[in-house]
Amino acid sequence: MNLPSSSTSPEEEAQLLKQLRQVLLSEDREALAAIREMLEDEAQLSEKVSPIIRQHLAFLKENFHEEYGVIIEEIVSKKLSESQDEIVNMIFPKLNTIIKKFITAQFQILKEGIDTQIKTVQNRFSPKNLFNRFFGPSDSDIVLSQLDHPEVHEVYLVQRESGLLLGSYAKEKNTDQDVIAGMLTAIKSFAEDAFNRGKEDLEMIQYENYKIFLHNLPSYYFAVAMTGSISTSEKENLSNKLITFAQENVPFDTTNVNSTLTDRISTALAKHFVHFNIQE
Amino acid sequence: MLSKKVILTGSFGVGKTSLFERFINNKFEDKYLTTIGVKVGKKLVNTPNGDLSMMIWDIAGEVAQNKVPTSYFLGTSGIIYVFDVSRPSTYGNIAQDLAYLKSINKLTTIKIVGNKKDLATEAELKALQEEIPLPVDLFTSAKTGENVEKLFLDFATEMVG
Repeated sequence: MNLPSSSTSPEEEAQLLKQLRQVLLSEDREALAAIREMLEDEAQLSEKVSPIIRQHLAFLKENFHEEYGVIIEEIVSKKLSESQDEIVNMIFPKLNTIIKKFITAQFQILKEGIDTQIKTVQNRFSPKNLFNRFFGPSDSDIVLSQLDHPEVHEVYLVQRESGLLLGSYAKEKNTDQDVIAGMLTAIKSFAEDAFNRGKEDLEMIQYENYKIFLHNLPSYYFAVAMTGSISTSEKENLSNKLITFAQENVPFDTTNVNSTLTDRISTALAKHFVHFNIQE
Repeated sequence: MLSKKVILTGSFGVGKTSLFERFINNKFEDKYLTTIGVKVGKKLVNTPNGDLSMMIWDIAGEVAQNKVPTSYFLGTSGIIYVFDVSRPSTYGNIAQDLAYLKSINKLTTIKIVGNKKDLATEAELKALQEEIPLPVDLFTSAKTGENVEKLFLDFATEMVG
């Protein structure tokens, strides 16, 4: 190689530098070409990288908890505490349904068990028992009603079409009863319209332990809010009580609703229902 | 004291609930929350003809009145048909809507009310009255409260008298 002397021209210097670069970088260039070829060829790259990845995956499989456990736990814990409401909203409906199904099933088992026991033990041929068996409440109804005694809390008498309150009785007065009567009528109208049951009436609204029985008559209806389990015969007792009340206390024409009428009916309702025992 | 049922009806977003809230609770909310089903409220009104317990049903808005469950209208003594003075689509069907309401409530008094009058000038309201094929009983603003008390008081007075 000719080294540049002080007398060489700039062209000669450039030529010499080019030669020098070729000599010094030729090995690097070859190595670079080999790396590029390997990167661009999937098979070659896979051959090189796969063992490393497999090795690392195997390592993670063995040591994931030590390596990342704390971080993951922190992330999950943070996410859970931030999303408590969403989690409750997701879980609660399912949990609620499961619990309700379980309780219903258990009650059914209990009812069947009581029936079986009573039928086995009882003297079924005594005149009194024979009469009760045909005309009285069923044995399971008696036992169940004693377990979960039904209690009337509020009674409303409502004009059927307008939803205007004709009279009411409540053990504890804490809400506007006129508005309750209106909303009950709106719910009733909505349900009857929505399901095209124009000729049929909504008969019960249930909210958790609260049940509202609706007893429909031609121009008005009764809404009875109560708690506890009510048997078929108790329901019949209640219906009879309501019909008797209507016959004795509600005037034939209730078109014009005024405070004199509502006060009179409310007083009568209180008199009839303050000591009312649905089981009698 | 008499009790009467009054219905607020009309297209959606015309301000029925705002009129209801303004009259019953004397408050106004700027944000729009659509009414689901129906909301019932009560107000005792002292009129020159006697006192009235007014049960007001605020019904969810519908583009046409024949879409409202007919049972909501049963036993009603008065209907307030509300439209929005700033939205022509809310009074475009007024003639058909009123004919329908009259057909299902033959004895009921119906008031036509243009709400959101704060969004229109007097001249615009006058032009609107000429454009609408039926006479508007009152222009109100639930936002400012203008004519809201008058609307219900006049209606109550008619019903008691």
